[in-house]
Amino acid sequence: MSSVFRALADPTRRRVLQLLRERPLTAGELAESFPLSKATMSGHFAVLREADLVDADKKGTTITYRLKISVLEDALLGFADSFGFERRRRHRRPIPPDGAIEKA
Amino acid sequence: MPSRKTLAWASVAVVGALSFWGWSVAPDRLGTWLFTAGFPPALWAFVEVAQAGDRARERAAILDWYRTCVAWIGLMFLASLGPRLAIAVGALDPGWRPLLRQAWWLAFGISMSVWGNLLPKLMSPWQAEDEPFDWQRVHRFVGWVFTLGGFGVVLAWLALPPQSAKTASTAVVAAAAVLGVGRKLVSLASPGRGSDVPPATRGGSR
Repeated sequence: MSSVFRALADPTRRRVLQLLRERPLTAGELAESFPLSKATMSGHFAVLREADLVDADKKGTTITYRLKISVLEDALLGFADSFGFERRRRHRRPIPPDGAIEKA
Repeated sequence: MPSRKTLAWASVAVVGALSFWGWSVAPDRLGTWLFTAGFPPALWAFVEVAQAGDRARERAAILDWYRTCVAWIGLMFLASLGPRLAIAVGALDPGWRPLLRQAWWLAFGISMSVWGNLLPKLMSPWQAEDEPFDWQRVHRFVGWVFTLGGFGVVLAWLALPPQSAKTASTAVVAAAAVLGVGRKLVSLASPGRGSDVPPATRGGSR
């Protein structure tokens, strides 16, 4: 289940699932919908496959992705889209300028 | 853990034996016993025959899933008819009847929800090759209906008096079946709606 949460935590992967809800799409078609490199998209597809949320059908050099999502996962996807549960990113604090700490 | 095939065979044998016992207790209800004995093997045979295809991986996974369903249906028959027959022959106190009935309906509601939840994940080989996507949409819709319907059945048997709970849960199950079949009929009546053909075969190369 943690792999499902991990997969749904990213807005790009959620968008991929929303696109697949309309119809099965090839990897190329999906990649065209995002301003991301193919390598990055491949990483997203791998995470979705690992979570068993998509089914990949390879014919020749074409990989067609199809949605493979249970009712509970569908509900989680809707919940994540509505409220978002992106993983909190650790923002580094800006490094204070020289001497700022001493002055404080 | 025995294989799913063994479980399904065991289920068919147990339900057959139960029906034979039922026939000896109430011989006037021959139709009921024939239906009870025949339903699990008929369902199993249909699935085994219908799942012919060359996508071996999916076929094996789906057949295992359906065999589990056959075993589960047998268990539900056993849980429903076993106590009734035991009461009829005086082996069980009739005072157990309400509790057993409530337990059966709760198990039925839970299994309906579990089945509904997993349904959209299934893709049969013939569905994957012939009409891949509309089936999936139907499965998704029916999955939601059955998951929520199962919750409804469980809630009814936890919150309502037995007679009202029975009426409510029968109505829920009937409504879920009608909605599921209706959705499929709508899908069949409008071929070509959506995209039943995978994009890779729709012309144009990428």
